[in-house]
Amino acid sequence: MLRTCQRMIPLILVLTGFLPGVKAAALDAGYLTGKWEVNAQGVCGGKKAEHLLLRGNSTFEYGRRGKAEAVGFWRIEDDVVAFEMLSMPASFQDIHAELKLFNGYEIYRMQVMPIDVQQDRISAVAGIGDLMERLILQRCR
Amino acid sequence: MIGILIQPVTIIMKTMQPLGTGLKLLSAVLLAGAISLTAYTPTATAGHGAAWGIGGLLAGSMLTSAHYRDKEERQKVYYAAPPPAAATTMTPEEKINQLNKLAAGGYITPEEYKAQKQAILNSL
Repeated sequence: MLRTCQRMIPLILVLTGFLPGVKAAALDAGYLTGKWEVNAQGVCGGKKAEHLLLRGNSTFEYGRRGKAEAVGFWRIEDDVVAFEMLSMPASFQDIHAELKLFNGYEIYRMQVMPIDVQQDRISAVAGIGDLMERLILQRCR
Repeated sequence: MIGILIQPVTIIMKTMQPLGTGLKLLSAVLLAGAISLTAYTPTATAGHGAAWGIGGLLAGSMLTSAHYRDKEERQKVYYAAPPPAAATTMTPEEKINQLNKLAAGGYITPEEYKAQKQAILNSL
């Protein structure tokens, strides 16, 4: 009987979504508020760092290399984090040179669907229009 | 990498020998999915933005929307362009005024001006 129970443990772990060392967290505004580094390779604030600063008043800032490049509002809608932001295409000309031709600010909408939410780390899929990207968000302390 | 993923699955499959095949298969699929999510390391996405995650996505979207916006602008200009005025709708006076403007602007030579003006006068 005991042996059967032992054999069932891995199956229970798998079926309930738990893995050793992984602690799930609830996705709510309190949990999300704070600074997150996108696809962090180490500590927050590296040379290639990309951050999301989610404030408790529903505003946010997205930035690269410490410089804000998009600002706007965020909210949780049915377990998806919705962002509406204002950004200038020309500031992304290092990624796509053609964008230097487009001055002025534009509004963009992004949705982030968390797949795996842990205490200080979120694995998610982000989408803007037809484009999608896998992201890892790491909380900065 | 594949070996790292498969090894734990194999061990767990052995421990679940007494279970039904369907249940084993389901749990193996779920475990493989969970491991692949845990072991996921962000990599560059070709096409829109190399190492930048949200930046790459945003830049890709900007490029796409800028492309469509540019296309729309061009279409607007194309469709909004007034049709060329038919010569027959202009009175002789208007034609001569037009001709004077063209001559003053240096768009036509004095010879062309004279010939065109004469043609207008002849049509009266």
